[in-house]
Amino acid sequence: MSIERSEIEKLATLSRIAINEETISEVSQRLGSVLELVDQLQAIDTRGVEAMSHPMQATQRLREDEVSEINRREAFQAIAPKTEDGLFLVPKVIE
Amino acid sequence: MHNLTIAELVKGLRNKEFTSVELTRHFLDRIASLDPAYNSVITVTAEQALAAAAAADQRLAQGNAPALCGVPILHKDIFCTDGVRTSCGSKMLDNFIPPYNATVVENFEQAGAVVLGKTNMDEFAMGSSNETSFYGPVKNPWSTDSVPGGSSGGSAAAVAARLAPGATATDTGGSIRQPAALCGVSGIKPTYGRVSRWGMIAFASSLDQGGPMARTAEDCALLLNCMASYDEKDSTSIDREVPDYSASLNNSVKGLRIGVPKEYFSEGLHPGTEQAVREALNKLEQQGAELVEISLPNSALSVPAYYVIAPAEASANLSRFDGSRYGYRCEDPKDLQDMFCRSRAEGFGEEVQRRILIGTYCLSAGYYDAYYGKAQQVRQLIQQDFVTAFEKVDLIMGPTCPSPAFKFGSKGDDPVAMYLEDIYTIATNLAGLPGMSIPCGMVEGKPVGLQIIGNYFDEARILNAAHQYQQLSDWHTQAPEGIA
Repeated sequence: MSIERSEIEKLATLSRIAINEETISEVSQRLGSVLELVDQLQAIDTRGVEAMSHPMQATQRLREDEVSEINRREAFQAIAPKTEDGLFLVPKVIE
Repeated sequence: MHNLTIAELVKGLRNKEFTSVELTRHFLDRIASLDPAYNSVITVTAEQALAAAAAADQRLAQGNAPALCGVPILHKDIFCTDGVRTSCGSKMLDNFIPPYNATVVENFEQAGAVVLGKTNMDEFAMGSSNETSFYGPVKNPWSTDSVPGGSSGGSAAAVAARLAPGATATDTGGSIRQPAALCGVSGIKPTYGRVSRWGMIAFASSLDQGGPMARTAEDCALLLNCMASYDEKDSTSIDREVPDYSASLNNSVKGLRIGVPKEYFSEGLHPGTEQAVREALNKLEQQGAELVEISLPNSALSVPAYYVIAPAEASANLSRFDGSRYGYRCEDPKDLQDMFCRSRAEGFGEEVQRRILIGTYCLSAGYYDAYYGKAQQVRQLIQQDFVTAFEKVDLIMGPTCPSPAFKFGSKGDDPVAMYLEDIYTIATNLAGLPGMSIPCGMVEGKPVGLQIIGNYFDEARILNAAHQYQQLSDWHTQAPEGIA
């Protein structure tokens, strides 16, 4: 099973991963082999079976909307690629 | 000192046979002299370790020492450590120094353990051979041309080479049990929700679970006593009392019903591995345990279900690495999209990118029900197999992996060949059950692992059976050549 070039390009865009032109056919082949593996699931009759997302059917806990952490902006920005005046700097978004 | 178990080290420290500083120095020296051959440690924290050891010695002298006071350990480089680089085996986080500790790290600090450093691993815990690490592969101490397993290969190799008496690890599809098996050490993956995931870098959130590795089951119990906790910061942590896992180690296995799944002894299992596992089961039977043949009919579906669920969750979890706030950012991005796309293409390795693409495919419009929805239904079927089995048996045992450690590069270019390495371990993660691997033999000079799977929150029974087996065998005391 192989995946169309256009499909790989779409996935790369959705995933925000730049894909190198030369590697597309290799990527397509390897993804194809994984999809072939997971396609075994299609043959299984799962009518009436509930989807399982947590082993103990636990649900998300809620807590009071109270401040529990102190602001540590400086510690978090110390490890950022670029900051300025307490803001994270990224390339210009709006012209 | 490196041949002593954690239980013996705890006693030795309390009886003043040696100090924590001496012990810490000894293990740091071993890492410096031996690890270049194994590459199991990414970052050594010698200075902090010696300071912590000195503080531990003081508490020991004052007589108010906590459980693991002065015992040196290693943390897998997936657990955030305040002020110490936490790379997750990736170029993406090569420069990442967390400003906080994971709850697991915090728990060990409370218990007085001394952290020697951070262990190597497959990138973002995605791999079964440690070949995907940005820092290069870990070598198996039993045979350096073979893999140590993965993703916690660094932790397993370090414990096997006696570079530390114990280490933390994580398991999403077998990442504690498979490397423990291939390196001849003991390792337990607890029930999902038993150990906090807070500060443990996420791979597949509904499957990830931290656990300890050591040479013996008794030591794993000591480590798990401090590692397991209820944590409000982890929304999937389970609020349930942590028992003393050491207390029941000496219970007899007489009358213990051990389920032996026929699907775990089928095609693809190395005959030497099968023989070693069968002999281990017979040993337990001789002690009065009862072997019961069982069936886990949906076992074969666990690998395909996993390779939908894990990549799907990974693709969502790893979207946070975009070059904006921390981690790797590409040079001279021309705009925001270019920064995202190139930072991720340059920062992530091949296997991580592959899994993100697969996960994105399975979650994308028009495919969600056919892949992710379907896989979650199959997951339910797999869990039901175990629920049914545990109506008849107390524990389930079989091989941890199909064969002993394979040679580097031998799985070739096909990712699926590597994925099948975890065929016996993945189902446990999908069901959320606890599982352990302990050494039970040698094939071609390489260790074989016995897998022990328990019911939910039955870690104590797993550790008890493992400890009892280790009273009857000496596989766990054997050391690779040049180590003892």
